[in-house]
Amino acid sequence: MKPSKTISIPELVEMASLDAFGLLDAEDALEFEDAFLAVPENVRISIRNLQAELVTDERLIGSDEPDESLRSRVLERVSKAISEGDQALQPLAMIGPETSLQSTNTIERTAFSQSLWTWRAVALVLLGVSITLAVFGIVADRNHRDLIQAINSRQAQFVLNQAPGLHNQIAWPTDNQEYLVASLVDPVANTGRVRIFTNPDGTNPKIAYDLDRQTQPLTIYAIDEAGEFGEPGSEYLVARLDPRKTSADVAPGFNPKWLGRTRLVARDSSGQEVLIQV
Amino acid sequence: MQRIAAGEESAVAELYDRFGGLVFRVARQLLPTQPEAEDAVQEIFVRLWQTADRFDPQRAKLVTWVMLIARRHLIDQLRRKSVRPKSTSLEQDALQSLPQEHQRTVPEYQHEQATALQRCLADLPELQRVVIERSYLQGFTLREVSRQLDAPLGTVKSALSRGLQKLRDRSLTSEFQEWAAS
Repeated sequence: MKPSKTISIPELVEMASLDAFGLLDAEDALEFEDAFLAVPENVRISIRNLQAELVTDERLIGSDEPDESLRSRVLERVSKAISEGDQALQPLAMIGPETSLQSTNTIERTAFSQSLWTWRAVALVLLGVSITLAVFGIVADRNHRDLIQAINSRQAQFVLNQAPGLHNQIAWPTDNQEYLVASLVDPVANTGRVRIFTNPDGTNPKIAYDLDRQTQPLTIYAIDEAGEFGEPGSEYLVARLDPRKTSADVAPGFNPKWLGRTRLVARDSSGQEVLIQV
Repeated sequence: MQRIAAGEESAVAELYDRFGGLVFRVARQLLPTQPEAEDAVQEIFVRLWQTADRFDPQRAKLVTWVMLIARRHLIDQLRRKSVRPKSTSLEQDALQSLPQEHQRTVPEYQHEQATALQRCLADLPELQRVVIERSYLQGFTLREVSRQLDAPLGTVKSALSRGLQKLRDRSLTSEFQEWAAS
């Protein structure tokens, strides 16, 4: 099996050394990830060994030794962070048996006991609300079932035409802390795929793609079917894709709030939808 | 890492015993003072605890993951401090063949104590030295370095890869050993 149609083994090794130091940009990291997953296991083992060797090479990281007291300070800091994480759940933990509460102050104990009954009352109300919502959920689920059945056949077609193994493996944050927020694929042929990344707050959008070079230039639109940003059915320009390239910037006026709230499609010059969002 | 993700403090201690020294050395390399490096090491181990459930042994060895998290934290810290060099434009000719007198310029990025790496950097061709300083030591992305130097991205990538390889070559190491022994 070859690593990729565009990345040779020497290039893969070069990218692996940059990846080990976190020096790849978002789209390069994605390209490396795809190529890494495509090579045989023995090559992956070699690359993992190479990266480990690089990051521990003392010629690249110096030879200073930490003070012995640093160990206790690190452990104390982590312990504090762990306990602060635990405290976030404390209000729920207080809804428990009164006997577990120990206090030497009678007035405080009485007040706390009253508070405990308040918490229990709140818990009962929440339980009632949960049951009511569950009933509504069951009814709503029945209403949606027909709709789901209607689109199931089309979804199956999408899954069959996706490149295997590439769409659920992007859990590796890039060096810019950008994350995958949208994917477009060709549901009927192998035209290619598009991925859109942003920071968690929607800033710094980037588009990485891999298209058949014989494909016409494509244009990505966001279709506002619900009318959240204007007239229902309005279409907004997201980006133009040149098949000879692998990345593009978003168009002027791009709104990151479109992502997830509109349907993305990529059309060719005749207006035919070539790629759809999955 | 599963034990760390579960908040098992003895597992954090084991992690520090294995990698604390490495993390400190890279922190000391990127940050100007010892107290800053020590603070960063503490924050990095908190970060390792927070992200432990994301570690995938099929994707990378544990030491690679630990050092990657460490470097990203340190680079974020450098970016917050906004210590950025001015954009530099290297002449196209310089990308092909740098004059001899420019190949031993003093690195513009210096700490209180020059490390062995920085001394070795001075022996690299100018482009490789500048790219390593800005990406490996100062945390700029390769695209940013490409724009700063007005050089093609592919050239920058190759310069970085070749420069790092040269730093690992025995010739530079032996020079460093001679220097250290003198």
